[in-house]
Amino acid sequence: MRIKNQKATIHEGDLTPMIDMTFQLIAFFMVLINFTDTDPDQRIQLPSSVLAKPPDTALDIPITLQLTKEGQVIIGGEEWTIDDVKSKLTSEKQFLEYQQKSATDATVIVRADKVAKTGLVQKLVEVCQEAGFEKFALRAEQEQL
Amino acid sequence: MKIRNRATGAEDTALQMTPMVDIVFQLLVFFMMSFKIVTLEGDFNIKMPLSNVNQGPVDDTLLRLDVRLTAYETGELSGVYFNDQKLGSDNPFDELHAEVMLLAGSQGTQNSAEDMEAKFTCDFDLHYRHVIQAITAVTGKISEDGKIVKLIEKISFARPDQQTDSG
Repeated sequence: MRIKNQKATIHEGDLTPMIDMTFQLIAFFMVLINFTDTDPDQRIQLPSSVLAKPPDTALDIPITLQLTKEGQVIIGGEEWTIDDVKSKLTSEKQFLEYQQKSATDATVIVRADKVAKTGLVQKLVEVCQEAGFEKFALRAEQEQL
Repeated sequence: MKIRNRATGAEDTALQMTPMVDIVFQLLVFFMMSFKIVTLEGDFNIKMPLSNVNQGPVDDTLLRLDVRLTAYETGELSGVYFNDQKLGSDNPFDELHAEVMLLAGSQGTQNSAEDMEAKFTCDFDLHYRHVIQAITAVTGKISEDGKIVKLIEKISFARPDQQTDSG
């Protein structure tokens, strides 16, 4: 049997369009990505409101407390009971005072689940008040009209 | 002057694209994995110092509106009261909003919405979303052009009531 002498040839595809698209995808994700300190916990489903618009300017000193429907408080990924939150907030207050700031300048953002008991939300607010915090922001999800 | 014949020694210099493509794909995978789709969120700002928890508003010039929300044992809303008057329509929050609008409008410039304070009294077991609905009803509305028209901005809470309706 006669074997033909097949000469190997290298086919180089044109990579330019693929690289163009890839760079565009990278640019898209880079623009939209946000590295926030406090990741919203997936267990919490916020109540919705038509008036809940994202603020124009970022809060100066935000402290985010997330309340699950079971009554657990999540601060920076750690779970606390409402009664134990005061010690954590006291240390936050001391840290603010160390930075020549006051607890009254900070805003406590309350991200509570929509079926959490209102009494627990108010209890959490009271604990914050006892720790010296005055400004609160009740967070809600923007409702589409 | 001697001119070298460059044509004879010239070689095609092909750029190695593989390392760059590797890095680019790694970057792409990193950003794709880090990407999170989040819904837009907003805040209702409330200033509540400790001294006002039980004492109510100190400023006597404020027109104080009492909003009471009662709940069944399941946490669902059982009733909305505005200045001790039960709102009986199918959508009590729309009625609450209408009452606040009526007050803000009838008082004219002497008692505008800025001079009002809404104090919420809620049952302990009430689902939090109903509180947000009530706050939405008293704090503003969306105008026809999509802008937020603010009404009452001063909001306070009374201590939660442990008693709930058994129905």
